[in-house]
Amino acid sequence: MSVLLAVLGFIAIVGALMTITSRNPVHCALWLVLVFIDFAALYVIAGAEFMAAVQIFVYAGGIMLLYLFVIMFVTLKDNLRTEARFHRQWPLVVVLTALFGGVGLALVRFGIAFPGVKGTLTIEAVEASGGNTLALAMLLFDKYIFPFELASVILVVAMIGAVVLARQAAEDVEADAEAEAAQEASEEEEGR
Amino acid sequence: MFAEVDISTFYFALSAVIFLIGMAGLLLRRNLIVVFMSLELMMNAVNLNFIGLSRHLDQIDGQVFAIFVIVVAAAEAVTGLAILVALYKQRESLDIDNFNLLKW
Repeated sequence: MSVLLAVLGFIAIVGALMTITSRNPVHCALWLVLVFIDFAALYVIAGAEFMAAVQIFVYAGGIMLLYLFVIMFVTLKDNLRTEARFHRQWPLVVVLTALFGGVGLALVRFGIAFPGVKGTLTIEAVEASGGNTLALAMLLFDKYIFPFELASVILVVAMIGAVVLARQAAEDVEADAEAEAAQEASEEEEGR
Repeated sequence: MFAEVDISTFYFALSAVIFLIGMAGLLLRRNLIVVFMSLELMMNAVNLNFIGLSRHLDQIDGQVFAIFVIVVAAAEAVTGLAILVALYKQRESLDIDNFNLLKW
């Protein structure tokens, strides 16, 4: 088990590092998909099968597809490779990473009593009572029903916002195209 | 050294490392799309921490929180990418150093 965890952790770290260092955004997206699938495996080991499925469907399938579509729309002029990748904020990043990493490492190394009451739903108990998905649904539609409804409102608001923004962008492009067409027409008139 | 580390500590440590890598990418990269991807990396690290804690504490609640994190991440990706496309129509560029209108 610990060998499997070590391999998965290694893949996750390498994939994350490649995600933030690759020059081409498409390569970044593909490395990020690798990290997502790797995380899904870690979720299965932690006994969260439903979350693993959601991770693959929603993240690797849905959100990354959206990213790849946007990359396709936006980088037509092949200006991906020539740009400098990083800006000059190395010192800030080194300081912040050392600070957060030091605190995190100290917490993990010296151990803290993670606050919180131990529940009764061990992986075995969940399996015995009908599986992870059933246990999750019982909790989500009972104790967390109000946040669940709120989540649907957030999604509708985000969808409306995205449609409005995309429509405005499309209308701008149409207006530009019409102006160009009108100018070309008037130039042709002058040519005659 | 690795054998004596228990699984919960492994999950917390890995999520901390991935979160830091995502933060470094968020601060360092110039391409706006890759900055958004770093943000997704950080949210996934938080999800991993939630699920590791859910296993550590023998409670399912952490997995429910992870669902809500995914909902917010999806909403963020949709609106963020729509803003990105609108910005690209304005500036013909994705280099965040070009978006300096509000810079003092």
